[in-house]
Amino acid sequence: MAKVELRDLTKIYGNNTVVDHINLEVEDGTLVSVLGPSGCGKTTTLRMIAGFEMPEDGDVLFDGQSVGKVAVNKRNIGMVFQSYALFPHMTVAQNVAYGLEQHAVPKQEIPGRVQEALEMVHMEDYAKRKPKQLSGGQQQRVALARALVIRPRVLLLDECLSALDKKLRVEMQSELRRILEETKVTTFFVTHDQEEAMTLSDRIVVMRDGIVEQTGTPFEVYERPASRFVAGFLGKANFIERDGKTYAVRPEKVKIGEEGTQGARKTGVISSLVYSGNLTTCTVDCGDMEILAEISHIDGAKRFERGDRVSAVWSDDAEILLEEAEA
Amino acid sequence: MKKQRHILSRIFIILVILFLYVPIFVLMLLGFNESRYNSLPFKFTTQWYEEMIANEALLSAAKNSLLLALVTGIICTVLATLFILGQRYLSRRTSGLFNSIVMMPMSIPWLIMGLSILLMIRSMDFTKNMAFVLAGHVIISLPYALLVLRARMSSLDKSLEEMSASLGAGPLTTFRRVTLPAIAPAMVAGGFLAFMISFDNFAISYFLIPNGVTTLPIEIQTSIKFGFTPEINAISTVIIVFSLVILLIVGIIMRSNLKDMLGGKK
Amino acid sequence: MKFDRRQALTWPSMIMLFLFALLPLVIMLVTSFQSDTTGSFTLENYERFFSNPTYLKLTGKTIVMSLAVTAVSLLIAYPLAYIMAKKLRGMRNIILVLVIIPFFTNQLVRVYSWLIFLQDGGIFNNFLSLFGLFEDGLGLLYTQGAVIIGLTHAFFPYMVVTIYMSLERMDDAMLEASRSLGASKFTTFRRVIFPLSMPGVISGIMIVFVPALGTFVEPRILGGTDGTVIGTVIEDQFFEIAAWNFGAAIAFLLLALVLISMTALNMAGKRWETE
Repeated sequence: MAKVELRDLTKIYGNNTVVDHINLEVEDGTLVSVLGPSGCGKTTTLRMIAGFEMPEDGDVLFDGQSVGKVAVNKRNIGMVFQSYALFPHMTVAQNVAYGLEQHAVPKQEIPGRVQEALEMVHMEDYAKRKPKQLSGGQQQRVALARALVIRPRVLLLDECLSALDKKLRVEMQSELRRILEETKVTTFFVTHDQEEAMTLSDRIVVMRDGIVEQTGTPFEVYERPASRFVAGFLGKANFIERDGKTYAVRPEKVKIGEEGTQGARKTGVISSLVYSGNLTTCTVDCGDMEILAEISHIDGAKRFERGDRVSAVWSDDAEILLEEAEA
Repeated sequence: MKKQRHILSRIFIILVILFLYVPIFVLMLLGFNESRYNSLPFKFTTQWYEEMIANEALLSAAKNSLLLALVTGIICTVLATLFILGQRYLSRRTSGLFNSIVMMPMSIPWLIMGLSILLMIRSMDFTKNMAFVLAGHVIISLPYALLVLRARMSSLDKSLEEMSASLGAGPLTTFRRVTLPAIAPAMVAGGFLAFMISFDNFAISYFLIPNGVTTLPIEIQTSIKFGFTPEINAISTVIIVFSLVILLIVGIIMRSNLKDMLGGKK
Repeated sequence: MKFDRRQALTWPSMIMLFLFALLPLVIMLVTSFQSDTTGSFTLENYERFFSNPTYLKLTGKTIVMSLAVTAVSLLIAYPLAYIMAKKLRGMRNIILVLVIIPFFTNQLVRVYSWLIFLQDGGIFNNFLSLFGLFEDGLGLLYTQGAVIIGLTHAFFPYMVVTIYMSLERMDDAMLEASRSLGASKFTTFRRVIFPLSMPGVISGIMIVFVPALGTFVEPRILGGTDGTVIGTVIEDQFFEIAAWNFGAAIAFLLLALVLISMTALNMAGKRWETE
């Protein structure tokens, strides 16, 4: 387990700077999500931490020591790939034992360690199966056990939940959370799914075009996004321009009332209503802009119809001042 | 260090390519060399090509080879197309069985295929004739035509045909308007490949050809046996160039399916 | 199950195969049990084969020669396929095509080109003489060495294809996973890449070894008197001494050898299946 630092980390392919002088410090034992749209450089960053890609500039440090010149197989990392990358010709147990053999763990210790790791992911009954005989979720668990059994200093997860269906993904998220809390390993989790990043991580790093847009706790990046991009990428937002400044307002903080409601900020016509069970998403056409509001059903508020003229209301604290004027 | 390894890789590739092509190029070159005994120094001449064109036996062998290959190519195209279309309606097991029977001549030495047909001709008191040569050529070329067609067929979406049927097209219309245009290029490519397998074949012809008839490969073999002449260099060059042209045609037609085609040989 | 009339489309091919492949093979088998002189049922053709050490030795020689061709082919094909699949980017398709083209050129022309190339005082010999090597002639033509060269040249290209396919299919993340688990590049090759390429290696062996068992053209032309193998013995029975029934027996034994090798290789292949 280690504290990880990235210093001016840079990756260039031809003329294309994929990762541009990134600086980051991650405390020992924290789970960091690296979040961003595809092509933002998040996977490249992860691969540089792993040692699969050599940076053009900058360095990676584990516990204050540079690993820039250390080969992948000497870095003592655990990695889980998007495709899981289990060895198809080995059984589950052989897959998990593989890393232990490479780390010269005494032969008699290996079965115990394998068993322990498989128990941790609840896969001990499948030790003799081949990967092809397992479901996606099960393969995922084995891949995790295989990465963790070597007690890595850093665990790297590359979009590893994205191949699972929604229900399984949510289940695996909480599993992952539990396991990582047990092992207390410093973890980098690359994802493009903002919801996943929010529920899983201690900290979120939002990347875009090779640079870090914002770093913070899930609460910070959601409630206090630093830029229009972050506000828009994590959840939905209404952007209000006033006095040359841009403010973001989250749709769930917007209330809809009949036209002329006190404190009305905007007035317009409801152009669409989308019911999705726990809430209704309402789009109000205010002429110069559209306001998005998410109405929860808890307060028994009046139901509106499409075409109704309504007013949108929100409080001052709902307005988040964004640092840049225009993205 | 990494650079060095790359250079080693390149040298290896070049050596393999040289191993594959140098003897053939030398042969082609010697077709233009004056010496009757393929010896140096090299002096340019087209004499052997002139003699080749004047050589009646070679010309008649070439005519036979071409005709045989052409008919083989056409028959194989038809058989392979029918087979691949019908195969989809067989049960899994029957389909597998039929397939291994049709592909069998690919893994059994042609020596055995040829002489077993010869034994059949003898045991039934037939005389050798070109029909048997043709039949032998067809069964050994058919697997190759099938290979090409299957590569195309596997990438053909079955739902296209189902969609056509759902739009009210009868089976024949569906075949004519949807299936046929999709597999037509592969039919042509498969036909050409079968043509080439037949054109190049020695073993089957050797066992089955009637007395007094020859094909180009048999001519070459005879000439090697009884002391070779540079005309053989010339005709070999012509054959190589001809094969390359045919391969090029197959390659161009099957460009996107080349990998399926190569990988299909099991 | 209901009979689908469209199944009949497969029949023309099946009839051809039945008449000109299966039936002839059955007739060959029957012939092999007939006496050359009386035509009645006999085991004498097989007895003659197995009681004569020359034939057994030739069988052994053919197998050894085919194994040698397979080994040399593997030594060329595996590294080439590996370089193509893992080290090259843009060039791989061009090289694949370049390697495969000679496979489809005329067998006789190919053999003939080696005959010219390897002869004493031929081009290759002349080339080596420039460096003061083999000035008295190569002495390579009309030896088993020449046969092995000719057969390797004929058969290894397809082995490149099968091995390349199995290597190229491999998910590179698997190799990275192995490295991340602490394995060196060599260990990764030994424990992950090589085992996973085994299906390709085995079909490659099948594509080289099996046809090598049944050749007669290359050994005859390139091997001279040293090139006698089962294939040429069979050829002689038909064209030189007209011992048809004995020839059929040897041909059938060769067929059996081919089928046994294929079954063995298939079984070996099962071991490497990933399911």
